[in-house]
Amino acid sequence: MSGFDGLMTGFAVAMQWQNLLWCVAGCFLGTVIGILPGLGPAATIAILLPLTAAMDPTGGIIMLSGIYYGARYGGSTTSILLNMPGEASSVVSCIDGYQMAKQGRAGPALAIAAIASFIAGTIGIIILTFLSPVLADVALSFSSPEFFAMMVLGLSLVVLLAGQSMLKAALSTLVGMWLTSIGTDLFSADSRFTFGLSHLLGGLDFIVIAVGVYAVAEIMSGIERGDETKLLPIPKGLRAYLPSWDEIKACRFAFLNGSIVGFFIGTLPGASSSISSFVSYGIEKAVSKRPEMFGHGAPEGLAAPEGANNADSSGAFLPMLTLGIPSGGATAMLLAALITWGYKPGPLFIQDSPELFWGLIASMYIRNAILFFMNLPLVPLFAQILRVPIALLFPTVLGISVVGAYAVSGSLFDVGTLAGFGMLGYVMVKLDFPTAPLMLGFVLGDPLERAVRQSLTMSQGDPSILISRPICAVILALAVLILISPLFRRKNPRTSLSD
Amino acid sequence: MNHLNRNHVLAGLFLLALGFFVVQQSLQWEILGVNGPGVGFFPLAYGSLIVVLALVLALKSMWAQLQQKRQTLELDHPVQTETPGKVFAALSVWLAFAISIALMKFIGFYLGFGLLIMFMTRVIFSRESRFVFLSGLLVPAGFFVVFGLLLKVQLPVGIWTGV
Repeated sequence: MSGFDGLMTGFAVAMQWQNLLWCVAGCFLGTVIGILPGLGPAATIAILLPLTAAMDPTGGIIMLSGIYYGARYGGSTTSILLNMPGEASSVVSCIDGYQMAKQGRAGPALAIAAIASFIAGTIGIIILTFLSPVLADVALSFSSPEFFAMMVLGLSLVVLLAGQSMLKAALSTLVGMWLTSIGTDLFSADSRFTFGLSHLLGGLDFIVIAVGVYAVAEIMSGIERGDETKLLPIPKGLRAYLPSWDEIKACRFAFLNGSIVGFFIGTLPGASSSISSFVSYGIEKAVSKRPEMFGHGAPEGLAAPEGANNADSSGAFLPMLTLGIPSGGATAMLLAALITWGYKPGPLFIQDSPELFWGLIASMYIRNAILFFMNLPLVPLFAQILRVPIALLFPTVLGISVVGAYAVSGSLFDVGTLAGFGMLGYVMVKLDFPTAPLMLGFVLGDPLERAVRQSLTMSQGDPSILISRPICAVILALAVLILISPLFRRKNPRTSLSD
Repeated sequence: MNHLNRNHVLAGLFLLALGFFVVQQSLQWEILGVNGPGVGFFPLAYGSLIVVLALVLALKSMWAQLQQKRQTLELDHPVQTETPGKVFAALSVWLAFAISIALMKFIGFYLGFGLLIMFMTRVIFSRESRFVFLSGLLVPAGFFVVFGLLLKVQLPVGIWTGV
């Protein structure tokens, strides 16, 4: 099935009324989550995962990915009106977005953010539509050694790009691998690291760890930060949102820059959405004829990062759907959801489940349009969410976390484990250990072990199989280059000693 | 910054202990058998890496701590520390959360959750009694309607209360 034919099949699936409804629900919920400072899409998807287990997989994945995209749209509202990023990817949007709002241009700033998100999101989805089948075809020729090499490459990128310290990112990934080893070994049925607890024989559940590390830890950090909200006036009437022609003209290149940079950075495992926003902002400033305006309310300084953080959501789906390698915390949750429903994202995913794959892709186009048309008129309504007292919001999130963890297996042991991982996540945040590598190490640890053991079984224990196969050797060489690349970087004298 | 380096040393030592534990455990399992790698192969590989990297983290942070101490002495700058009150608030919320989970076995989800809300609104957010009481009552009631009645989600039932 070609990309175009597949897309048509996908639209037939995505346009079914139930799926449209889930799409709208996901967009709405995602926007709300994006607006709320602290609670990100990864935590929300983690909390909702057990509740979606009984849903139709197509509707479920459409809703969960709607949350992922919606959060990106919603994040810009708090950045512009509050100078507080609702989401990590919106940090850069604060720089010029908030300045525009302070100058009385909050409406046009919100509109530019929405237009940039829509254009870049659409371009990102078009690239995803036509690149996915190509990448999946290439990956079909892969065997266990190549998959092992691909996962090593992915984890190397995670170590390089997640957080400020490679050392901490690497340790975080390895601890994630240890956590995934807990339980019964699938090859030999031996139990590992169970400490004599029967609850651990089945292994730790991804959802319990994810909700603990993201949601519970985020609440603790929020309490420590003492999150407060001080909202700028919300524009009234649609006319107040219209940007001027000069502002649109100034953003022309920013729309394209955000789309391309965002998509390709989004495909890199471990590259957080804040990286794509920063890079596109940097490029925009570098090529601008008026760089001095950046930081003082330049509309293109808002359009570039807003576009990038939307396009990178589409980019993040490429390795997840075609190789089974998630690029970050939220895509790791989506991968876990698909696995829970019995699907196996990877090179055969498009062939084996064309309706689900193309339905999801088609829903992305629809979702992008829904978000564009829903966001602007509803900004005043969404902004009211910021008036919900933190004193109610935080305990409610803890309550939902308990509901989510208990729904996994109906055991209070899992809820207790959730609290334990909440503390782990909080300590990691306090010590500047990135949490995404822990989740990726947990998700990829099991397939990585399987791939290396299968490879060595194929070669009767000879490790040269990993370097004698050309594709494998090239990918592993690339991984090594990535890991040693910081050695060739010029030392920045301002780098902190702890890093 | 100095306290952060000290914490990094502690984190490094903790991870070092974890790495040694993983290596020691994996050495008790089969590493390489006739059919290829055994159950201990993969943990031995990542466990060894944890040991090496944790050692690097601990030593690097110790070195940074020493450098920082020297600079502080030379410049006579006071060491900046973070507000302990806020960290204490975060930790007490965690403790209350853990206790409420333990209590759920006996008093069920709704009561345990209600108590957690009342603790957070009163002690952490210093809200007035009416707000504390109403939120402790209405939020669990909202959960009962959404999760218990509408979504029919199973929630912990207390052995003392039966709800």
